[in-house]
Amino acid sequence: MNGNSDNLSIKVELFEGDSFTGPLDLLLYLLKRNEVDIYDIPIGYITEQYLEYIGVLESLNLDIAGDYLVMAATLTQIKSKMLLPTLDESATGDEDPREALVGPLVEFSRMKDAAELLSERFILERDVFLRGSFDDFKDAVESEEEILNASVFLLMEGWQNIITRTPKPKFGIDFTIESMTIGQIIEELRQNLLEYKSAHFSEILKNSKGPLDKALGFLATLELARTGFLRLYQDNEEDRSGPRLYLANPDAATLTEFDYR
Amino acid sequence: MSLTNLKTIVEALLFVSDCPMSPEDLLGAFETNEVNLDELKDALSELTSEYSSEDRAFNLKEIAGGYQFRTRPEFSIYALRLRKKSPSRLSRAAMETLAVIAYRQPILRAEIEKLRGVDAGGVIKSLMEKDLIRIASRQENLPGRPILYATTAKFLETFDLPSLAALPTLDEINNLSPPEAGSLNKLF
Repeated sequence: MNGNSDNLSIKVELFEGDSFTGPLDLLLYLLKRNEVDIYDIPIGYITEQYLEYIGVLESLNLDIAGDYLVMAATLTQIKSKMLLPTLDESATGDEDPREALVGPLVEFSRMKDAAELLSERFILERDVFLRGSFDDFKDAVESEEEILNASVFLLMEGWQNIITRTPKPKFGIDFTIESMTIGQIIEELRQNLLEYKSAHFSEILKNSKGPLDKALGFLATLELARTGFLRLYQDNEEDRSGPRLYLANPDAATLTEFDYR
Repeated sequence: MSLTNLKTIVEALLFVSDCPMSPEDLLGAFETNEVNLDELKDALSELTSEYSSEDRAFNLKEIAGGYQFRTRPEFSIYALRLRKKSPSRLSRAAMETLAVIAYRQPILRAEIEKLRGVDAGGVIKSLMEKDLIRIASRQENLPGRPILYATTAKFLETFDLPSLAALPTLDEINNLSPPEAGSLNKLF
């Protein structure tokens, strides 16, 4: 992160809101946040903020969707066009290079509003119901779990929560032992889960000190999920605090047999 | 047949039906020349207003070209508690894509992506699986005859719409200051 702590404020601010559905969504957010006129965009200022955001993504080593980079290039191009003096005034000199942005932005903004209006309608099986809506009432089968449709922003947000928040856990891995191997951490997580049966992801990181400890805790969780020892469950997209860990198969392959170092 | 009598029969038919019933659908329940379409429409509109004015648990709603009983939204909290399935939610990206398709149909995937500024493949697939959109036709005059997408009857049913014409008009929701004449049409 190159000690760039200024980025933290924009990070935290962005994570507070909902994640973005694309570069236009991000751009529109920046325009609204700065309360500027969509038809008179302060292109230098907005470009700077947009690039800062992309920089935050890069500093977290996250892959940035190509679409975001295309928009960054477009913004930079418009910015430089506006800085350059127009040599041939008679030709296309009076054309505002920002116009290429305004059309798509306005159209996108309308569609966003339209989506909002649709969400507010009386939606079937959320607000209104038909006869037969309880047809699964007598079935003992558990409801079908939806696979979480997570974006890279959700992941960033989750990571941000882990890094910034100090959870108040019941128990957790003891990271105080120096130079713990991933194998030891996995073993400790196993013992904890065998005892407590379930835990929230934030709890297992109780005593972690830095990002490295957290990453190790994360890896241990993934490894135990992979072997089937535990199951990860997250209620829905809105629960941003991370998954809960459930003991699934206590007899899953004993991991300490292997050296994870 | 008296209107009261007809209304009761129509009410029974709607109660039994699984899907929204149009006057044309209902006509099939009667013998030739027993009733005509106009009488059925009168019965339906009377029933609709009776249900909306009385203190009933459900409304008769015009949905996707037909009529259907639906519970009033104020009871959703109870219904949701008793249901096993959680209400299926659409992500914001899916809602945006659905709105684009609803308002611009029939529309190419490339047009959707241009409008939203991101790849739409995954979202389109999931909307197709949920039966909210369908392949309407193909753009014959373009190379490769790309697919044109449109919304389904299930879309209308899900979003409580009598027809596509009932979608809120985009001008109503456009609260942005108006563009200067001719400044916007270059890209579209």
